[in-house]
Amino acid sequence: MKILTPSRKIIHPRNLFATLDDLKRRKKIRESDIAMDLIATIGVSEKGKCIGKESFRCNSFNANWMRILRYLMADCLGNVVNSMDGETYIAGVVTDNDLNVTKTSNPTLGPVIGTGTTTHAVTDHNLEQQITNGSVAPVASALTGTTHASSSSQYVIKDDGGNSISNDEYNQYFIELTSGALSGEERIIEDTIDSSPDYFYLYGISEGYGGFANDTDVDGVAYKIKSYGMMVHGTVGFTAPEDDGDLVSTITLTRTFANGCGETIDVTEFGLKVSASYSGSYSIRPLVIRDVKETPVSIANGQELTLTYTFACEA
Amino acid sequence: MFQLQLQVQTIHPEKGITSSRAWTSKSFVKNFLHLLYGNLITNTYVYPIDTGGTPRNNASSYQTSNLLKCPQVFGGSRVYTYYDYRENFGEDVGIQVGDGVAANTALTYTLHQKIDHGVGTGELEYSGGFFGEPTIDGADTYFDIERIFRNASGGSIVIKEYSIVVLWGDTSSNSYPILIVRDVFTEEIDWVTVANSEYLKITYRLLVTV
Repeated sequence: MKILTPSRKIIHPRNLFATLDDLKRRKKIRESDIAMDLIATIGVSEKGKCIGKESFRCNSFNANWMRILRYLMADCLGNVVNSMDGETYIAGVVTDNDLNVTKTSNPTLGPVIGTGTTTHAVTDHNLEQQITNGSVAPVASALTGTTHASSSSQYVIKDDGGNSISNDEYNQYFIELTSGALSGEERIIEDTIDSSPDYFYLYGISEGYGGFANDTDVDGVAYKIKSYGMMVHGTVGFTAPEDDGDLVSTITLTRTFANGCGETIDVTEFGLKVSASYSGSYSIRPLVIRDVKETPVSIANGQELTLTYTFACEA
Repeated sequence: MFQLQLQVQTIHPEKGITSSRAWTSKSFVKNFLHLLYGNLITNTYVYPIDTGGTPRNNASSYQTSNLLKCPQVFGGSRVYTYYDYRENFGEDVGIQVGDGVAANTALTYTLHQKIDHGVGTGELEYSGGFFGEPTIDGADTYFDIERIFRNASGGSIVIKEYSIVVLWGDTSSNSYPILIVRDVFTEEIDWVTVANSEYLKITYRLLVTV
């Protein structure tokens, strides 16, 4: 797909007393209205060979994107919604680059994918059903059996088999409570999409998330450990703005997701998470882009999905 | 979709708004992508060109890792990044105006003919600027960047180009103005005349729509 860049011509309203409200009354966004284009390219490969590729224009920058951009430019604090818990943080410290992605395979940062189908909205703060980093089949990874908390402790959450998943830092498991209640100190995901009781991410304890608030809590609840499928997340790749002399400049972010779970996974959600700081030394993971494809991209076992975001500006 | 809109108003101190124009802008330049790239990734170098035309580079993980700082203060006042040994002034950053009509190129780094801060012939007084809060309105989220100018030059001034300039620092704690947006109007019908004693209010609206 050709990257569409804005028209080189400024739009000339002949209305000689026009305001921003007049622009707002336009019912449809024209291609020439786009100031910075964003294209998602999805490649599917098997054994190193590309077997499919498609691109689509994203219309998915959300409110978090604007909040972060605003506080970067205004050099002030901003209310950013964290994907990890759905809560709003006074994020933004003057010395931080708060759109940080970094070249890691950390699945809480960079391009992310999921299996959710709910249409994106400007207030989205997380994927609906984010695919977890790993290579376990979706059915197996969605542990439906109730796990009693007695084998867990405050900072160690175990599955039915007694395996600690607390050590799986930065991953995207969910804990669904089946009885009891949390103390309220955990980072509870808002139930705007999931109608189930309470969720919270299992996340790096060093960053202040994950685990139960206290041992008393552990004894008082029963829960399930869930995920929405697993694919091995690759390292995020970047390309700097190229300098080929034309009026269009681009940067790209790329990540490959490898399906080794033994089953086909239908991917429908695509997004970008970044790192932002709050209170000086902690970080949150705002989602700044989310798109949903009506037609899933099916990734068979052994195949890889490569997601590339291309940001394009025309001078 | 990420949009940029521009509103230009002239205001008479007694009569109020005397003219108002609004356009869809499209003019993020390559420097913007350099700085966006620098904000996205740490421990790498970015290569913007400052408004003086000099290429700069800096590892974005250093002290000025927020690469999009856009202070808007009164012309003549100092502006700073974080450890700043180089002098920059209010008129060097934020929203700027000019009367040149040269087309943008791939490496546009400055206004063609910037209007200087002052009260002399052909000059405008650059006042402070304002950042609006992010506002969610249906499918839109936006915030505004505004700046006020005053014409005390004694004559009319015609505005033909507009820009947004941010302040960015290198590893030597020197900061440089980097232009990230420039809109230029070549047709006379789009030029805005600011009469003597009138104010000029520029609003850039950064907008996303899902």
